[in-house]
Amino acid sequence: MARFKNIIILTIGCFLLNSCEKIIELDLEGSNSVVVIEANLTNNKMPVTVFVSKTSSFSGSKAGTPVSGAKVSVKVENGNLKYLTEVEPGVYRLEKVIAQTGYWYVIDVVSEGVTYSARSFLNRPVPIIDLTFSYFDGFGFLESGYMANCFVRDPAETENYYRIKYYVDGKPVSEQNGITLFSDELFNGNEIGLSHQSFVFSETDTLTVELQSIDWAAFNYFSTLEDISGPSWQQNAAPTNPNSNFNNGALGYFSAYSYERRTVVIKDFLKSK
Amino acid sequence: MIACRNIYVLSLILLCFGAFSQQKYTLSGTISDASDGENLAAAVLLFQNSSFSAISNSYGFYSITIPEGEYTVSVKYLGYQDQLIQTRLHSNQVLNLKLNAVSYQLQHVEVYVDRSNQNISSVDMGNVKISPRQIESIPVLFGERDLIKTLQLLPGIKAAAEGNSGFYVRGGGIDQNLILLDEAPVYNASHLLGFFSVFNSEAIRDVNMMKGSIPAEYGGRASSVLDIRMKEGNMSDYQTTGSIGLISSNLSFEGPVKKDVSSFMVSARRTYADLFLKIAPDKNLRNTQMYFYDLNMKVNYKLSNNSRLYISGYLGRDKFRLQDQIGYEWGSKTATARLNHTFSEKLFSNSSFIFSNYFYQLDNSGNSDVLLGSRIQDFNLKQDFTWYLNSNNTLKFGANLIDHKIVPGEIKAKPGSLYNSLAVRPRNAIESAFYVSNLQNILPQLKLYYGLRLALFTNVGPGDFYRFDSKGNLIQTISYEHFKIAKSQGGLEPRLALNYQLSNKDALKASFNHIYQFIHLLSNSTSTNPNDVWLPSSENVKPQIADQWSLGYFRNSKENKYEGSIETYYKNLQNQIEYENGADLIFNSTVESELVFGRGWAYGTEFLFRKNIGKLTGWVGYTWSKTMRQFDQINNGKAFPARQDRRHDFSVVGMYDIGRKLKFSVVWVFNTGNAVTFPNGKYEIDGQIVGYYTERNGYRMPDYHRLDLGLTWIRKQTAKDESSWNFSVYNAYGRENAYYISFRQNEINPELTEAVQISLFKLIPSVSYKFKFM
Repeated sequence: MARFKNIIILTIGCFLLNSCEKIIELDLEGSNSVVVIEANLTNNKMPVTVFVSKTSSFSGSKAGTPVSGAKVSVKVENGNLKYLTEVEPGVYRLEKVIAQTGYWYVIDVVSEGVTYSARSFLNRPVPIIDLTFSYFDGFGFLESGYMANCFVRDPAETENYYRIKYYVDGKPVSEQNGITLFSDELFNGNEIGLSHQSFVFSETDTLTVELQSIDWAAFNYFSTLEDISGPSWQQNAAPTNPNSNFNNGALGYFSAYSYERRTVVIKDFLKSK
Repeated sequence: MIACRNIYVLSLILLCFGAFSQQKYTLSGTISDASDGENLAAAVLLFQNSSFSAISNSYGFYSITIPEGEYTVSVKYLGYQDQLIQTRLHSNQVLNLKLNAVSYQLQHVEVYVDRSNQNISSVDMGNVKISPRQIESIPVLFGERDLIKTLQLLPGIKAAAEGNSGFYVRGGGIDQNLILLDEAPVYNASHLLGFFSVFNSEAIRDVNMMKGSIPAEYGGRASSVLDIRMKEGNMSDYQTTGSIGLISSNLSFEGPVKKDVSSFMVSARRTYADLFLKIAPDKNLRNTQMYFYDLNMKVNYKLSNNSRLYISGYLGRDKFRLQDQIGYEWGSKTATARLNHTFSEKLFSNSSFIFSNYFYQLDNSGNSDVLLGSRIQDFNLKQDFTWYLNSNNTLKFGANLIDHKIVPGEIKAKPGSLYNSLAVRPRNAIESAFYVSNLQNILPQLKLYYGLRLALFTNVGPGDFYRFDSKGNLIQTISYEHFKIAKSQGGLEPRLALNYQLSNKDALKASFNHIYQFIHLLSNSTSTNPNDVWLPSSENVKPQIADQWSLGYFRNSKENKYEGSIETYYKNLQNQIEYENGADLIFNSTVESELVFGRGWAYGTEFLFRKNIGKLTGWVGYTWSKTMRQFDQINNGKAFPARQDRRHDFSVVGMYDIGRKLKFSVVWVFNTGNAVTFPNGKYEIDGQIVGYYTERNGYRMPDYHRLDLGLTWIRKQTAKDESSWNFSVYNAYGRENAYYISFRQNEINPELTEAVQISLFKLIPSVSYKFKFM
């Protein structure tokens, strides 16, 4: 859907080209801080990492303060708990987790007497069957460059949700201009190239594309996150906190996902054609 | 039901008041413009040395039944010379009147222009009538004359966003305005994402905005009615008018088909920014299309002395195409066929058949060969009667039947497309209404309007209808066949208005409306968007209900040269609709499960001081208002200000004639900021800094103010030819008003967040040339 929403933005963009901007002072008084949890679990024997923090005041110099001393645990639903250890303030980790696809996983975070709990379904990975590049001429706010088309064969029997992360020379590309998300609602069972106009690359880049197979709750979280964190001209008129799968008022998300990666030097791809 | 019967009895009693046995006769006829034969709506006939008066309806027809005798009648219409008529009424009499427009040369000789005190003597409240002629020198954005933007300069009517033709009336939503073009509802009244309205002022005869008392013949939208009538076409001469502007040009042609019997009008407008793109050095820009056009047409034919047929149509399109990749298109079509018939000098009838369609579509042919779209289509039958019973009672009654078909979303994938076709269940419904009303003079100084409208909405098959549990899970799907009734709802709508005239200079007025609204717009943007979705009421979506009470004091001075009014209102809104965060509004068959319902209320006071004649004309308006909403699922159930809530609105509009050739105009607006949601905390997630929101619309945008200047230079003005230049400057002192405010990380220290204000229009000069010849 995000892809179609962009079109409208383009038209507005044409108008805004002539606009002017300036930095202003606003008095956004502090609020009570709440717990923020970011938790990821994958199928690839990566450590489970959970970040626990609290919101900070808007005008402050730090975005969030780490929460130490929380009890963080992970389990397969109805399985045995395993505790994570705090490796630095607010960062909790469990090495060598072997997670099997097709199960629900549960994360519990206990901090200051409150238990925040979320569950996420680990889907089977969907393979990248091809990775191609096409040149995008750019328009309005959108820059020109090579757009990556990540081809998948969408499984027809399941609802699938995808998130793509890009890495250039091994470094993650900022998602300030949008989060690359897809639901198979409109292309269930088809072979399709997934791409995002906001992400363009240059010939010399070594690009790694990570195709995550996420569950509905994570998709819902990231798409509502994009509503408030994406480019300002596409933000919602009534911004609100993203839909978290944690209970008890915590912000953030828990996403169990499986992924596939492919790395290509764009130059080499162009030569091979 | 009991209430209904009481009203019936009451009206019978009231009707009998006037029935004393003195010989009475009816004077009736049509009032039109002497030069082009256009009917004049709301022209006033004042019977001197008596309290009788009559007013023409929107087809120029009037009728009044009064005791026999000799009368001197003055006929008044703003911008026209008064006419004095002597008449001996000893039998029923048809008197068709033709008024002469005040020519420019005569305008300063004020003796020719008298002003009626219609605003004092009528029961109308919160009504504004304007004609393009009155406002043609008001400066506007890009020099595009726009009736809706002029209306936004009046109290109680707020623009949805800067330069936007969407509007809020007295705290109601954008979808709560019934916008009628020759009786056909217009579902999206804007071009180019709202920066221009679809109403080409060259094709418009007059506009009547009802924000307070809404008569019983109108219904279906909770907050206001904007009734726009197209020009009918010159009955005696061919006439070409046109204008050339920076953004668009338009050309109109009108004239008789058969002199004094039939006439036509055609008007076309198109923007041409894309024509300049063709010569752009950049290839991408050259291959980009971006334009809109409008086409208005009307013909009318006098079938006999008693019947007249009008056929009119509108077609508008916006097109946007980026290279061969992506195309985006939306537009409205309307068509109206109307038959006026006077059965007798006392009974006027209008029958209408109306069609209206709005669609948008998006095609992505670049790499996926897919077409997405949505549409809404109406067929509408309407029958209205006006019965001029006697000089004290004017009855109106009628019925209306609308067949709605709404296709919220569909995807057409071409063979080989990467996407699948999908059709979100179309929604079919029948909206019906029956009404009766009477405008009664109870005492010479007391007028009462009372009406009752029965509004019903019925969802019909074919299609699936859904039941949800309290958590929004689908629990039952019921399939209905063709014409099978799935759900019916609605109710009675009382409409009341009262005028107590304290003197011939001032009056107290009060009104009450109860209105149901059955179709709703789901929108997630501040302004109008072409892809907003209309959703009908159903088992899962209750109709919106509005109650509005208003009270006003109206006073004229200096022989009606100056008009002043103070109006105050309270509006209560039930079953207001919002949707859950992250709801999919378009490709979702069960979108009803993602909606939340709440209530709203709004109140305010509006001051308006107007001068309509003389060298200096214009108005000063001020509004104090408050608009709130409350939803159990939003903002922790606490009431919050609606996004259109703002406290103070001030506007000054002045037009001054400098000699005969030059007109100078000025507009100044000031308002305090709209309610807006800002974060008041922040945190980091996924490597991004994100705002933390605690309160819906808890902050305010900065104050807004702007000065526009305009100068019209009349090069030539004769009975046959006219030409003029218009120069205007929008936002003359270059105020940087906030279009929106966003937040971003500081470049040097990314942990710091800064607020960025985006301003759109800073000092925009424009020029246009206008001509007319016969």
